[in-house]
Amino acid sequence: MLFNVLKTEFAKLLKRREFNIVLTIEVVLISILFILTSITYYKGYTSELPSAYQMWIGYRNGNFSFVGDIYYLFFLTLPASIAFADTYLEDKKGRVLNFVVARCNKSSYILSKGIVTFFSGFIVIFLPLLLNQLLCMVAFPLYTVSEVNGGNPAYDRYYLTRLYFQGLHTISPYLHNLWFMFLDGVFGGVVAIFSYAISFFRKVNRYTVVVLPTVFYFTQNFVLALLGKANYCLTYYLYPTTGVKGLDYMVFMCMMAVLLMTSIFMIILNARREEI
Amino acid sequence: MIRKNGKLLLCLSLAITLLSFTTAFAVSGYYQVSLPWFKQDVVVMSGSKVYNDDYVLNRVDYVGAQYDAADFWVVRQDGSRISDNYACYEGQGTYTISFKTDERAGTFIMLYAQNHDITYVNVTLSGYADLR
Repeated sequence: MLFNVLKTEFAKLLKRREFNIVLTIEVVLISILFILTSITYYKGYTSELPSAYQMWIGYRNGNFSFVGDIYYLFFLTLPASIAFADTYLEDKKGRVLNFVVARCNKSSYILSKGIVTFFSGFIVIFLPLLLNQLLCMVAFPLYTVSEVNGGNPAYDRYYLTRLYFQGLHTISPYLHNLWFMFLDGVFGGVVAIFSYAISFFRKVNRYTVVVLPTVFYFTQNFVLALLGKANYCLTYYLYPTTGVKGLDYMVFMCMMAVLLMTSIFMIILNARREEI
Repeated sequence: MIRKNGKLLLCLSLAITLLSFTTAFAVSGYYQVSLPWFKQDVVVMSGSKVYNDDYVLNRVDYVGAQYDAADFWVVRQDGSRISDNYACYEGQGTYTISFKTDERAGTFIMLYAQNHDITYVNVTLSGYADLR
């Protein structure tokens, strides 16, 4: 039964207007940002071309870092919340909840919706970032001499000492970027689940469900930076070339786990009170 | 009269020699600035180039709070950029910020900086730069 409900919810996701609009906007935006950053290298010297992995939007190599900053600040949490997280609220307000739950049990319905919500948040974040990297691989060489120039002292390569996952970067910088795309996707999924959990509260409207996680995200970053705890700000864990001391990805994993557990707890508590 | 003029000439030449040294040193030295929040720009150092070198040297000694990098670039007096952005990390030695154009001695240039990451607070930055 869970499998059938899951199938129905996935079909609903792929047909959902908000999911398709958000994914399209993200893809168009990432393509425009790619063109904006790469056009500056048109007819440039081959020795000055950066490698394709350095042109990825999450890899801030100095030039056009504001492009990545804007994207990571404004286009991660909101699209993840918009894609599918408010469908429970939609079903409740459209009074179709009772009809759906009559055909399957309540827990299967809520669980399958949760799984699809997580998936929608993951895909909406992961796919555009992957597309950006693929576009870079088409336009730029995989490895260039920029590895050894760029103003760094000859005895030091910042990416061998400052990157958190140095070993992975040494094995393959593309795998390193892919790992961060996966982390960003997981972040998107967790944000979507948190939005989904908010929709279980009574007297919430659609805008609260969609906007609240973004508000919390900005507030968390702002307050912790103000308190001098920048290494706990979520935003600095989402891209590889952070210039922040004291980062520990166990902290990030714990924050994601706590947010997920809190969301699950909110869902279970509110779903039990729900008279369906 | 000749002695007076001679003394005057000696003093003048001493002053010019000292001044020329001052001018040469004026475009290199330690700096300490506050990097504004939200990646706003700040001028770290400015001056006229002494040499015809098409680069400046920069070393970041300290970045405040828990940040450890700043982006640097060079512009002319009219605001036109002459270099790419270079991310300079704290304690990683001297970086060479190369120009994209040929700049002669006497050109007035400004070394700009912004925080490498988006911040919500001002961050102290100190280091050493040589505008050559």
